[in-house]
Amino acid sequence: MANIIKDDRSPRPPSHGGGPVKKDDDKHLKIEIDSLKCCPLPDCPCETGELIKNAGFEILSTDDFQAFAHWKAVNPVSNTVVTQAPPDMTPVQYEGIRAAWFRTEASDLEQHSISLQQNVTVTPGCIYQLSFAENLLAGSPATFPSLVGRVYYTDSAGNQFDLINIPIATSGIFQDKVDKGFNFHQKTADIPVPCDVSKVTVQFDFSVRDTGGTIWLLDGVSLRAVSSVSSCSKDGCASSGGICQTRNLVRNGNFEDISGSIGSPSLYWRQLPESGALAEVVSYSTSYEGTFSVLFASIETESPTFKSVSLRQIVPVTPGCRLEFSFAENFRNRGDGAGDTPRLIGRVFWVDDGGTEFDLINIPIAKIGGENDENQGFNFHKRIADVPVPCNVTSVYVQFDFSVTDIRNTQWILDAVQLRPVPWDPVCCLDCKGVS
Amino acid sequence: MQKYKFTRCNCETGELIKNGGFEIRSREPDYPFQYWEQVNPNFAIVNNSPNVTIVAYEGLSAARFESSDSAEEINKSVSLQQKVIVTPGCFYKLSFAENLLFKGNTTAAAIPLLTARVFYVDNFGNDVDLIIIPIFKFSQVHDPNRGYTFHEAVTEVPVPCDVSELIVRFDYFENSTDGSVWLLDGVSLRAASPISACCEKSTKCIL
Repeated sequence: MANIIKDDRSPRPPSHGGGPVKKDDDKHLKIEIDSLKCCPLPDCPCETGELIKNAGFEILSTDDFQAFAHWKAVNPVSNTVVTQAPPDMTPVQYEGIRAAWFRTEASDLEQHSISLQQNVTVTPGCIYQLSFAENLLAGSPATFPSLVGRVYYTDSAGNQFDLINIPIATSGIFQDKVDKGFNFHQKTADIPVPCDVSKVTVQFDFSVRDTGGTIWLLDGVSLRAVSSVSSCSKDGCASSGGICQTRNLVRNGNFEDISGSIGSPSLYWRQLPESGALAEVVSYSTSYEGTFSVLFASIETESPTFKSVSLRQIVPVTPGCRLEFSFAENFRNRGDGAGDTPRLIGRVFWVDDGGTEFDLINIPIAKIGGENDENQGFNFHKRIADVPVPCNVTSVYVQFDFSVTDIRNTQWILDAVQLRPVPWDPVCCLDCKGVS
Repeated sequence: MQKYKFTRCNCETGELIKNGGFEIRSREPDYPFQYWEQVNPNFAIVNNSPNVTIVAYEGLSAARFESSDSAEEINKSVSLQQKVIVTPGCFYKLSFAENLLFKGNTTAAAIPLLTARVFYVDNFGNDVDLIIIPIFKFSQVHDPNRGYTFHEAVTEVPVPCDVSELIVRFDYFENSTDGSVWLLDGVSLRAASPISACCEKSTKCIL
């Protein structure tokens, strides 16, 4: 039996002598539920703070053989270094005043590589999120530079197991990737750190085949726990199965699997309408992460004509969880006669029995700024829904709506689509009795 | 019928910044955009003109920090801020996107600086920073007009138990003759923890 009553003992922070705490007793409700089990906060919470030391590369090392405090450059091959900005170049950074510069120095045409790593103590059973910003500042076509951000643990036999892997390559048109400013990347591990592991390595692997002159900048590295409680705890509270799981719910969100069929430019994704539209979605090779992306493109007409196409995936979700939606887009080309009409809208919505669509997240992007917002590289977008998935909804639509009025050749690249539940308790009582 | 459970001491689940996309302009003095206050303008302003704020990260508009040209090298600065009611004991995450559209100059090189801050004012009137993100742009060759860059930071400590208001502020500064132009868009502040650490009885309840 449950009774919802006004709580006149509204929880509030301890008094500190009339400080600026605002009382809002009216907003608090107390719910009394028979057999409610309340536990003290568990003994093994996940970390709440930043785990990377010197994440912005602001502190130089006192070690003559390392550039940055707390970071170790390992396995250099063929005149490849990680340094702060060289003396003959103006510093470029994401935040603060320094970044890590992965550079190749003059050599014969050969393979260059180096890794930069930091070991981090973590809590077994927690789920972690890696973030960083990178900027391919200089390089040459056909040298295939790559930077891979990884979080891995090493077992007793010396084998490395990736928890997070973010590969950044330069497939496609090289000039669309070089000197485009910093790109922000963020990915959450799909699984927690194993219960017998308490140390992981955050590592960035740089490689290129060139004669020198490639520069790739790294800055703003972050590793944080996204789960509040370790799943390895034997505490009954900690092992609650009710917490929303944080794995990416979107399948093939990086568009790496291009084995789609007619009407499906990439596996699990559906183009709408499948045919007959004056715009299309195709697999594309200039990517934000990995090797492939998808390209929204207008089809040529004799005169300016309204054109639109959508890309959709249906995603199962847990009722009561709130969703975090992210993606990267690159407005590559404003087509002939397009003017200020190009639009790309990222949406997460559900549909009721009557076919009405209800947006949980809506991110509209308009390109009305002329040449200053065309072909400027990828932009990362992220939004959390303000409301949870309704309790009677078990699947949502992830959809991107592209539209333009032009004659030809408007192009918009999309990559790295993620939809993750926020790892908090779902608000729906799936087996409550008497609560309404 | 939908069924919900309620937990005491919850941190906020929604967006706390109002008009974080700068889509709504204001005619109120010192408020170029609704809910956003321009403070301490000094040879620089936050421009809200529809003609110059159309290079947007999301939506149709952005906030545009710009400093005026001057014959002498002088300090130019302006801030844009919004006050936010928060729950004591919660952690918060700030995110935004910025785009240095044009980099100013001096006899040497202007170094425009945009600093994102989340802070509270203590009982003695001091600003206490919970988040501070300084963004310097040194390079005339590689920094300007490279599109938007996304930033995100989380408070390292929860909001103190006697604090319920934070200020989200963006401070723009440069010493220059020719002024810079810096765009800001997509500002967000959300709770990053589910339950306040200030609850009298911090409990986790399982049905």
